[in-house]
Amino acid sequence: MTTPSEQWIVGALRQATDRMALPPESRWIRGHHSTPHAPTIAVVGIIAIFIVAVGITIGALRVEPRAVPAAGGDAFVVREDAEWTLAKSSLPSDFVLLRPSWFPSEFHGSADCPSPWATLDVLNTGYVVRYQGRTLPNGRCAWLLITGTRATVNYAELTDGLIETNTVNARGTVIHIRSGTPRTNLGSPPALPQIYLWWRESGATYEVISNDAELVDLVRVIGGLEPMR
Amino acid sequence: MTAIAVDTAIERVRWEAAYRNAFPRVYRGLCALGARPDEAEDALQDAFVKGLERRIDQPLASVDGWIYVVASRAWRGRRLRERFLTPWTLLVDREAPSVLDTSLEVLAALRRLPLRQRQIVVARYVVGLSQEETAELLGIARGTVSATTTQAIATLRRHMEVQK
Repeated sequence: MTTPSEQWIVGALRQATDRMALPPESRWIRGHHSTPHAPTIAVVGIIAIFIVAVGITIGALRVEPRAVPAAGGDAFVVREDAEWTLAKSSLPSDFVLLRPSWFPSEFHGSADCPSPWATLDVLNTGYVVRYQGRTLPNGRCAWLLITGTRATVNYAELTDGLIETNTVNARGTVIHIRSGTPRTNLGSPPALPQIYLWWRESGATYEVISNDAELVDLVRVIGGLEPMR
Repeated sequence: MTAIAVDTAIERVRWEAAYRNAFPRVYRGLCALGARPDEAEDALQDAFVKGLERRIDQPLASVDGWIYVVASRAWRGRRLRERFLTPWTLLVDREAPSVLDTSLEVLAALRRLPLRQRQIVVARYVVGLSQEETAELLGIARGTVSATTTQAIATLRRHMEVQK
């Protein structure tokens, strides 16, 4: 593209396409698009508050053993080190990966559900480390995801079926709590309810999500996240 | 890198955000290629679902480009013949001010290009892909992208000069 006339052609093409009307955003993604009614939101909110209250109470009373990833030399620890190292080496050096210093012992993995796994996210701008545990009644693995991304995510626009129900304070910032049963692809088995926490820190967005953990444990995981060196 | 199927909440969230970001450019690109608005919507929906189903052990070099290529294949797959192109006069907002005639002319001229040239021109200048991304996604050499683009733009210019 070197001559003025060629640039003019390209400009005219862009101008023409920019003026094409777009369909309403509600049609950009089809499927289960029902908007929750206000009473539904209220009920979900009440349930979430109840879960928070019960979870914090039970969590305070529980004394079951917890895993400290760096405490042992077993295969799990070796694998965890390798996966986090792999994630860090795949991303820019100035990207701050937050690695847990504590997480619930039930996510150490099992024969059918190995743990953990690390991968880059779909935009290649962040990481997802997936800890897994028991096999759930629906045949899928229980999981706890720890993620970080520099991609811009507008949570208010998401149609994943989860609803922001509350916030808590941790790490000197506001942690947003989303919960509910996520939408699934057509033909897929129904998903289980999830608790989905997100916050912004160090110029990135971080998330801790699980389909089988209690909120109090997820908040504790967040509190124990440490920048990976 | 360990593979994980794109069926978890976080992956859906990421994919949906990327898809929404790409939608305007790819939708208009499909319409410029010749898709009717309803066909462009269907094709984009196909690409969205395919994106959810794909595995992410090989991250995408260009999300926009991947959606464009998958959606344009979906559109082409549904088409029996190319002669059912939408009249370009239905695509551009006729109430919009300025350069209306030029907009219509350039779309009309674009429709007269061979499909491959149209695909490349739209990929480069409507979807906004680089030469490298276009070459990789369409499975052709970078030099072919460059040469085809030059040829297509020159043809567009000739078509528009004839119309004047």
